Amino acid sequence: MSEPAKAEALRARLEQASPEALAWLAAARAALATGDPGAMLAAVYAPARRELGAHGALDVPEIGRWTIAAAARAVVLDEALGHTPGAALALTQHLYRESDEAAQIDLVRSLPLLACAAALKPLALEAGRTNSRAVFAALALDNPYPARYYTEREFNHLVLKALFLDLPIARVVGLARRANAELARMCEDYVEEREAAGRSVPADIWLAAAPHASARGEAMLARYAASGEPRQRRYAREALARRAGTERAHH
Amino acid sequence: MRYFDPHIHMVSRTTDDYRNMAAAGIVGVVEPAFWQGQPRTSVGTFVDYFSTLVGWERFRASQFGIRHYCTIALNPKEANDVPLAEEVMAVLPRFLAKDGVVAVGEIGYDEQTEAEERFFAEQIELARRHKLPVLIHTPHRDKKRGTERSLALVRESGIDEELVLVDHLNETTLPLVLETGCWRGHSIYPDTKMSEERMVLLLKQYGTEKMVVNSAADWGVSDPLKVPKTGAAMRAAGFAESEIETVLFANPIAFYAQSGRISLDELGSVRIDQRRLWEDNSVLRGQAPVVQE
Repeated sequence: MSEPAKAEALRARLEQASPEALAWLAAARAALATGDPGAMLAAVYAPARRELGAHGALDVPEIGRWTIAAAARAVVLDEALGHTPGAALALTQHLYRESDEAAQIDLVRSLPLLACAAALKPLALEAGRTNSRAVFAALALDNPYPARYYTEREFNHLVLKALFLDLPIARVVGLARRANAELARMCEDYVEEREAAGRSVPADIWLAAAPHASARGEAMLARYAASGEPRQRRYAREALARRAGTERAHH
Repeated sequence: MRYFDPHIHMVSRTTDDYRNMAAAGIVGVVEPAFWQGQPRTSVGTFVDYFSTLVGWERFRASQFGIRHYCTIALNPKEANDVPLAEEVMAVLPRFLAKDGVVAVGEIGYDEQTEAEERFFAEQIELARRHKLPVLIHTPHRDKKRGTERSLALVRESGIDEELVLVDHLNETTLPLVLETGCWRGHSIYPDTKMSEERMVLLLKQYGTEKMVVNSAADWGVSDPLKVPKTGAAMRAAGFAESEIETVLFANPIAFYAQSGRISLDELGSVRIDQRRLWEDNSVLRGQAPVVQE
């Protein structure tokens, strides 16, 4: 589904599912028309969870499960950006910087749905530098945006930070597709660093490290598949099995 | 035993910390300029922060008998907002000219972007112009590659490696720095990164030359007493008092003394006088002032 189609699907589902959201959106649209877009957007965006938060969730095909409030925020943001296409990045950055953590989470989650998604990468990268584990998780997990728009270097650093934050990288959308030799190299270096420090290695690191493992990585995988605690062994063995399956498929 | 902590973010620590540090024998600190946990959005907040480092924080430290020095720079975590970074670069020179500013730092890589590299290189150049040493933050993620690239940039710049302190080293990155003339910094944390015990092993393996230890204590889970605690661990492991003093006092001062703005003589000569005010402000809240003669 294209980005405009996604936002449209969300809007249609939202308006159908929630009379409160329908009324809220009408009021928000009216407010947006009255003044400076940046200020008005922040003014309607900020209280959305308080105003709509109690009213349940939606399941939208190909998009996922959204609270009414988060969906309303996404729709109003998409519409506001549609009115000011040349200033979309600036407007979104302004909104992000003015937002508290909960609003930042909703904003980051909505990025892949927005019609101007491609233009917002600097904002996504800025959000990726956050100190908030929750905001970072909203970008890195269950979110197609990085896999779709990030360069290899950007994607690799996202995955590495997710590992550092003990986030389950199985939920990084597109990890298998976008895994690469440089990511494997970074993970292998990390395994070495942790082992030299006498510290444990995240069990799911093989999801990122195995697909393009170097000889060094293959040796690590074999070691972890053979020994170490159960969760480690399981992930390593699964990764080895996937590698064997891939090799078989190519022969 | 006198101690010196060459990397600690005192703006996020309380007066209890200062009191405990002084009681544990810490007589001086260097506080590097860094980010504050969430990004600054205008150059004014950088200016105010730098002013705090040379102003209020220096005074606060002195009220507990601790000499406070600082380093000034645009840190790698805030180097990716290029227009803002350029504004910050423009204000740095006026802070680098001040007393008590002993280096350009913390600079380096965070995610190894082009923007980070640009401002890293520009600030090494700034340090050369101001004849100041450089404090390099090696990244916590992709650390080995980040350290390799940092050392390459130092080499390319032509700056004297004696003037460069590469910090946050560990078992895999220290060997890289040992091949250069750069100084070797280690940050000792509870739970994560480097511990006292691991530090002692590194000192046993590689010796004490140019080795520097700090707490890097900040607003996160960290311990401003890690330098004296490393001293205790060294003692327990059989190091001589003179070796402990070398690593935990003389080395960091010798490194920063290359700025001409700190010396061994100055340390230990701060007399506490809590009657003093800074811009009409006191650290006291109704207590009787401590006055040392």
